[in-house]
Amino acid sequence: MLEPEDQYSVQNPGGFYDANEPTNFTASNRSDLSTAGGWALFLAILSILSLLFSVASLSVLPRLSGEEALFTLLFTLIGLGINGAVAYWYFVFYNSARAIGLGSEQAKDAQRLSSSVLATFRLFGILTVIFLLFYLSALAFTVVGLNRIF
Amino acid sequence: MLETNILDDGQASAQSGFDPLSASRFIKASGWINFLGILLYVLGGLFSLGFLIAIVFGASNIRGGGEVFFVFFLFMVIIAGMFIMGNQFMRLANATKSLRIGGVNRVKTDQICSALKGVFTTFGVFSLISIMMLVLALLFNINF
Repeated sequence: MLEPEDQYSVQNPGGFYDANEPTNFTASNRSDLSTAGGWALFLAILSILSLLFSVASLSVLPRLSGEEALFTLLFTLIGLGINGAVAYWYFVFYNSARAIGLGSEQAKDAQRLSSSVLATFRLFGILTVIFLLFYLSALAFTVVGLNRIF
Repeated sequence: MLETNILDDGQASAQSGFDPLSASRFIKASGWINFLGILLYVLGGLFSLGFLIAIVFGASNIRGGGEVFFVFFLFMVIIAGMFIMGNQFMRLANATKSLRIGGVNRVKTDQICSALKGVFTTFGVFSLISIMMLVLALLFNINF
């Protein structure tokens, strides 16, 4: 059982750090975050590459008909937005994890790290829900035969 | 210039690296992380089931050769990746969810940092493997 002084109460509004207050990460914490940050940088580069491929795929637009071109443009723009957002949050995670890994003691780095984790996983979660809804509606139309009703 | 004052594990026995504001953000993220972890487990299970059915009912059509081996290997990597990533996501979800009880402490900070390393490392490694498989498929002109 942990002593009360060992714990920071999340509910306590007075317990919130100032952005410049010191944090207390151990050497192993800093090492773990450095490794995580390195992989986040790699993933950010992959997202940027994917973004560039999406831009390159727009070269097919002149060969498509009006409706097809509109849909391709729309989905490419959505893809660009998603890839850009994901890459941005990976970079934020990388920067804060790198700062903590190098020995930063400011609470703002830990706060940036936590906000990037929240934003990244919330984005992944929302995208997954949207994808699942699309997939299930497609299944409903093709397998169950909703297209005969509507 | 960043100041360096890295504590030994023993020195910071009672203190947390994350402040309550960060903790509240981790708690908010824990729900989504939990959802993604469970989804990865479910998809891994469905893929395994599909793979088993394909092997059992499609065994007579398997002719052997490089392509079959490649697809078999690809499926194994996908299934293993889903389960391993699901496990890492659940580790992070459990570590962040535990912040609801008793706030942040040294042990939970260690768990979160270790789980973050696990999640990003497995994510990066499996992205690397999938890129390598894609390059191999392009090199050997394998059609799916």
